[in-house]
Amino acid sequence: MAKFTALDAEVIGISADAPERNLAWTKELNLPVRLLSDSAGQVGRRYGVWDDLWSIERRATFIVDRQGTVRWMESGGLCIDPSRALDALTGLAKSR
Amino acid sequence: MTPRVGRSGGQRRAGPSAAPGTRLEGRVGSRLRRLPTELNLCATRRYARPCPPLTVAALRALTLCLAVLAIIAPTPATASQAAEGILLAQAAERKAPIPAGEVAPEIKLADQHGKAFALGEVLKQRAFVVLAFYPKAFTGG
Repeated sequence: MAKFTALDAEVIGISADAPERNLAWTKELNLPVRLLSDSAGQVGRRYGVWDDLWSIERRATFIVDRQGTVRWMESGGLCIDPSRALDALTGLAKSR
Repeated sequence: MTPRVGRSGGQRRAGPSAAPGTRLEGRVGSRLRRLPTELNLCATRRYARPCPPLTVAALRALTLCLAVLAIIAPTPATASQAAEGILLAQAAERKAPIPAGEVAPEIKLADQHGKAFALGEVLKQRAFVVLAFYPKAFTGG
């Protein structure tokens, strides 16, 4: 996580879980990130990652720059490797 | 024939124009009798340029002005919105994840501490924000 911060990036997690459940998770894993509750799926639908059948978010990672533009996106899979997002972010930070 | 028409026309013309506050001042009865004639000015003076087209033209001009204003008015609002936030305030729902190169929709949600989060606000402080969507807590990834 420090590597992301060093590149002037903030990592945000988003799911349909309630704030209490997210809080329990961050405490258990000592996660230094903000986890947002999108229980109604309103954000997930606008980002194209909402699963209507199960009412959950599908796995996807977006890197948004200061201008508000999506610069990198990865979706699908059972587990997203954060190192790929870190690599992409490193490339973006260099080209800045 | 011609003088008679001229006389009657002259009388008609003299009637309304001599009306306001001359010798009839204070004579309430006379004023009341004259009132309909004054109100019906346009109908009696057929030889003159009629009033209604002018009124219609004025109303049309007013409507046109309002229509132009209605078109112009949203422009400052859009400009202020763009200055306020760079993110899409109103975005359509999508079936597929937003690809690179497109503008991200604004996110306003509560975090695990109940604290309000706004993507636009965080982007003012950071060069990048990494948004990681995941199905459930305690599921990894």
